[in-house]
This record gives sequence, C-alpha cells and structure tokens, in this order.
Amino acid sequence: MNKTILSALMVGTLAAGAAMPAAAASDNKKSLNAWQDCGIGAIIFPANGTAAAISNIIWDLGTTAVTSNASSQNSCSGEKAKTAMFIQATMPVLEQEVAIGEGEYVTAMLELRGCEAASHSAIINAVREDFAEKENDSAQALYETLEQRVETSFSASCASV
Amino acid sequence: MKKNFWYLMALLVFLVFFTRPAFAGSQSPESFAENKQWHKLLHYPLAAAKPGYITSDSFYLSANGRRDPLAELTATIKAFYREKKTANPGEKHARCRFPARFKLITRHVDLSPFGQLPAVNCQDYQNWRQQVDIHSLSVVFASGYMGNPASMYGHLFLKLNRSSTRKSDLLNTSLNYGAIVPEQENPVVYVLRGIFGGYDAGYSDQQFYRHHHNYGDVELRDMWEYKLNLSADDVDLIAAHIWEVLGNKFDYYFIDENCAFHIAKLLELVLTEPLIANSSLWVIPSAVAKGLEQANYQDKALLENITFIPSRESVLHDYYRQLTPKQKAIAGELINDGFNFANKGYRQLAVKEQKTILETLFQYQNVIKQKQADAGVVKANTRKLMRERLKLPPGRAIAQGKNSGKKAPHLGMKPSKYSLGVADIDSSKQYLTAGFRMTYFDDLSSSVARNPYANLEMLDFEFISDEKKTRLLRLDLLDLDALHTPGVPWRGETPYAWSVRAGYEAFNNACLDCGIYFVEGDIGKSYRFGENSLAYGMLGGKVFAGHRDDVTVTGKLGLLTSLGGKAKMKLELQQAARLNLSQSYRHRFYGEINYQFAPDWEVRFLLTSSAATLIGLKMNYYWGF
Repeated sequence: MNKTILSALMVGTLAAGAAMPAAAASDNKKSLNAWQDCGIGAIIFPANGTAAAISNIIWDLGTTAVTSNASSQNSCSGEKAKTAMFIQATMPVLEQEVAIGEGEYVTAMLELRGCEAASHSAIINAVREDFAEKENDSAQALYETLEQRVETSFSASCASV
Repeated sequence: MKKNFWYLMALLVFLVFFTRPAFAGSQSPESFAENKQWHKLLHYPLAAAKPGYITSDSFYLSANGRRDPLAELTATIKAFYREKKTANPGEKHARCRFPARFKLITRHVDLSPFGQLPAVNCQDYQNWRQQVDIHSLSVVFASGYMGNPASMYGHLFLKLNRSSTRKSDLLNTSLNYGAIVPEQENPVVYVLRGIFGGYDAGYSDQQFYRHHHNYGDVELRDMWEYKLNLSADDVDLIAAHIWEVLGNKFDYYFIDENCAFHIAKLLELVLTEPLIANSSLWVIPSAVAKGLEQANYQDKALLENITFIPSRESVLHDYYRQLTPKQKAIAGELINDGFNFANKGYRQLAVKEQKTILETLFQYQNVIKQKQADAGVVKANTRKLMRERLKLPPGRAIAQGKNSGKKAPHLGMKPSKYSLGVADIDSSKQYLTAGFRMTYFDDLSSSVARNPYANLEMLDFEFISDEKKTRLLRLDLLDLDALHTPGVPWRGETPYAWSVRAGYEAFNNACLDCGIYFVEGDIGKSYRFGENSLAYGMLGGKVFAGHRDDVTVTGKLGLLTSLGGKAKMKLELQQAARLNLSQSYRHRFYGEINYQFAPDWEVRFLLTSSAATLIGLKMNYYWGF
C-alpha cells in the first residue's frame, strides 16, 4: 500500500516537474504536420479566416461554451498545433502585422511557438522576406513559412517540437 | 545514481510531511455548512428556497447537494477520503475535481475525526494550472454591439492574467460565460428561449486572442479591461473554482442569469459584499462594471486600473486623425484607384510617410471587410497592400494615439428610470404622469460611454392620471434606434439610420382611452452638422390593432441637437398613410427638451401634437441595481 502511494507520488512529482506542453510534445511524432494531422484547416475552423468569431455571436457571448480547453487536450496540443490554430484564427490581422514586421499578434504567435523574445525581431524579418516571395499568402502558407524558418535558422531560439 | 536516489527520497519525505493539508480548520461540518463562501462555491442563490444554479448532476456529490449545503459538505468530505478506484483510472478523484472545495474545507473544517487523507495525484488539474498560470484577474467589458439584440448591452468575461514576466497579453486565458445555442437556430426561438429559458449555458476557457480578435477585429467593439487588485490566495481560490465549474451546465436567462451575473458571482466568491444587489431583477454588464469600480476589497479599492482596448474601427479613426491632409488625400487616391501604388504622389513620399499611409489603409481594410459584402475585392486589395508593405523596411511608423475621449462603461448613466410629471391637453385638462423604464438609455439622456445618437430602451411604461382614472399612456416593449454611427473615413457615406419600436400607446392625444398595440420600423439617412447636431429622415411602416386596425406607411423628419453640455432637444414630424395610400392620417409632432441637472436627475419638457396638443413637464430619476 505504502509502496503504491510512494510510486504514485514519485510519478506525480516527476511528471509535475516537466512542463506540460513539453510533455505533450514529446509524445508527438517528429513528423507531425499540425495543419494536416490536427485538422486545423478543415475541421477546427472552416476555410475563411473569421470563423473563430462566428460561433461566438450568440447571446453575447454564447460560445459553444462547455467545450473548453480543459477538455480538449490531445496530441495536437503542442506548440506547433497551437501556433497553427492561432494563425488560422487571427490571419486577417496577423498577416498585416507580419507585413509591418511587428505587433501584438506577431509577438503572441512567436511566444506561442516557443521562440525567445530576443529572437522575435530576427525571425519575423526572415519570415517577411520569405513571405514576400510566396505567391500564396494563406494562413497555411504563413504557418509553413514560419516553421521552415524556425527549423532552418532559429531552432536554437525556439522550442523543438 | 545513489546520490540521485537520496535526493529523490528527501524530496518525497518533504512532499509527504510538508505539503499535506495542515488540517488547521476548527469548525465542525455543521458549522461550516452555513459558511457563505461554501454556499458561493456551490452556486446557491441567496433565496434559500431555490436550488443551486448549476444543473449538471455531477457537480453535486450528494443527491440533495443542489439544495442542502450540509449534505453536500458531508458527501464532499467523504469523497475526499475515498481511495481512488484502480478499476476506473480515468475517473477523477473528488480532490482533483474540486480543488477549491478542498482548499476551503481543509482551511476551515476540523478533519481530524476523519483520519488521514489518501494521497492523490491531480495531474490534469496541475497541468491546467501550469498552462493557465494565473497571477491576476481582469474583467473585460466588450461594448454594445447593435448587430445582435442580445449584444446591445455589451458583454463581460474574465481574463486570467499570467505573471508580468510573460509577454503576450493575447495568450492569457479568458473565461467566458454564455448560452449553448444550436447552430442555425430559428431567430424567434432564439429570442424566446433566451428570455424565457430553454438554453443550457456554461463557462468556457479560451485564450484571450480569440475574444480580442472576435470583438475588436470582427465585431469592431471597443473593450475595457478592469484589472482587479486581489490577493494571491484569493486568485488561487478563484482559479481552483474555475476548474470546478468548467464543463458544468447552468440554465440561461438573458434578463438576469446571464454573462454579467455569473461573472459577478464568480468574483463574489472572495468578496464580502455583492457586486450587484441581491435583489436585482435584471443584470446588465455596465452595472457590474459600476460595482467593480465601487467595490472594496480588504480595506482598499478592488479595482487596480482600467485599460482601453480599441476596436479596429477606433484604431482606424485614431490613425486617420494622425494623417496630414496630404497623406489623407493620397490614401484616398489609392483607395479610389484600386490600390495602384504607381500613384505619383505616393511614390514621391518618404518611406516613413508611405508606411504611415499603408498602416492606416490596413486598418481601413479591416473595417470595410466587416461592413462591405464584396469580400473578394477587399481580399484582393489587402493582398496588394501586403505586397507593397513587404517591400518597405520593417517597423511601425504610426503610433496608437490617445483614446479619443471615449469613457469607460461604469461612467455611463444608470440604466433604470422612474419619472413623475404633469401634463396638459389642449389647455383644458390637466393630468399627473408617472413612468418606469427597465433599461438602458435614450437619445436625449447623457451620451457618456455610449453612442450619442442611439436609443436602447426596453420595458418603458408611462401612466397618465386625472381625478377619475389612471390609464396606461404608453408601453414600449422595445424602442431601438441608431440614428447615426460614424462613417468610415474616405468612403463619404454614413450608415443607414434605423429604428424599431413595439408596444402599446394611446391612438392620439384626443382620446387617451383609445389604445393600440403596434409594431413599427423605419430606415433612412442622417446628416451630422455642427459639433453635436443631427438631422434625419426615415421611411417605414407601422402595423397596429386595437382602437383601430391598420397597416400604414410612415415618413419621419427629425432633429437631435445638444443645447450646451447638459441639455439636448429632439424634434420629430411624422406623417402616416394607409398602405394603399387611400387615406392619410393626421401628422404627429413630437418635441422634447432634456436638462440633466444632477448625475442621476433630469427634467424634461415635452410637447406632442396628435389630434390634440399635450404639453408635459417631468422629472426623471435614474437608478440601477
């Protein structure tokens, strides 16, 4: 009995010591494509960028309230998936801040992605350059541009997930 | 390895002996069951006869837990002592489901007769707390939204702020309360069930960026953040309780058991005085904002500070004000020329000026995207803007300016009204008048913290009485108008003026007993002139039944103007005719002057002409729960 309690405490202590996102991320496959594997584009939000708002315009605000973050944690809860969802939900404004090179949505995106604050400016400048070359400036294109830059040039400054 | 083992053992000893509850409580369960904070944790109404607000069976551990605080306390303590069943690993232990109850019970109740608590590992709860990382609380007020009747009063939600060392406010968690409405709900059913009940409701946690984007960017609503000055221990208690209520269901009632009510109830968990009066028959968000501003907490003000969060539309107007006339002209040319950046004037500008124009045009695009149907054109033009801005160096060129005089919602006038006055008809008959209005404001009252050319009144009664008889002169179930909302810069157009009204009224001043039930609606245009004046013209229709039954078309011409800081005047001339134009009704004239002589007091002079002339003088007193 005592052994069981001690084991439970040990497991709990060790697990509590690890950051939750990192723990969740460690379960994710390295090849996780948040956009596809987590259904970001098609399932969580419809194609248009303002969809995040639509379900909220009810009895101010009647969200589909009882489905909460607390009940939706899954393998797609890592930084990549969260960043992808953030981009999809805020794209119309986010892309403008990307073009400007700074802003509160850009800061939030990079913090969500697990990038150190000191690297934000350099990352977004690099993303700007790539984004300017792209024909497709959809939310998914921005996400992929960011991921590519993080992996190739800023892996030391951002969470590795 | 051996060294690590002993470190681990030392840690375990520490956990076992020092992190277990101290059982410092000294009250008996019977005594603690009457504790107000315990009742608040169980979401009991103050009226003892009513059951708890939460309708989910699983929230109450006792079969009588929705009504009986002692039964629920006893069941909760029993559940805390229950060993977790290994057969149901997915089932959460009561201590993990109810961390706030655990905190309060171990603080107040003497648990020594129950023995030692079993060890429980609440990993999900710990993960959530770590993820949400709550250090302080703010209440966010999203201003009224005329696009949805249910949103006209504004909306409240909580923001759970992380420590200040974390950077992005957008990634803080917010807690919302709302009804759960099926998709594609019939609008009539939506209104009826919203008012009379029929929807479940609940709290949901989402990152703040979703609300920030939804309200500020999509619905173009300004927000006000009321940051609260709570102790770390009370923030911890509220955070623990939020975990307890997430996923549980409530009944939804738009009038009283709405977002404002349940956000207030959550905060009242740690307050000694309620934010809204216990006797409140209706609860509106601005009343809770007033309560926050006036509340005391541990001998100091509850409110730490207020921050304005402008909508995209407010940002656009702010940026527009900062442009030079030349920049405004060039930006206008770019808009009219389909965002052709070969524009000579634009090309000749310095880079910083170009950036200033582009950043303003981004805001312009954000606003018209929400107001203009042709999304394809907006998207194509935004894309051009993006391309042009990406060619220029990074970095913001235009700063967000000061708030352009908008006032926080708690500064607005109180929503409910009593009135008392005298009236004279055709200089031959005198009356007393008395009125009552439930909510919220009319276009002659103070414009602080609201659109100055709008009317939002619900349940507005006026009685008229002579020595023989008291009659209902008028009942507006609903009286809404939006005579003017600011246009979008460069577009040179103003949104439509509109009004909707439904209720009961005397057919005309010559026959006060000739009542009709009516619904009317009008739409038209308005024109602002001077600093505080507005002229409008509208066409519409009115359907009525009672003393007479008819369907009419109506035309209205009106003027709304300020007569100095505290006085306003409204004049309106109305002409109605049968729908087939076979008969005209007599014209109606309405004129009213209001003077606010104290924060909650007004005096009004009224003159209406409709078959007979009524002249009235009345005093209004404003109040709120």
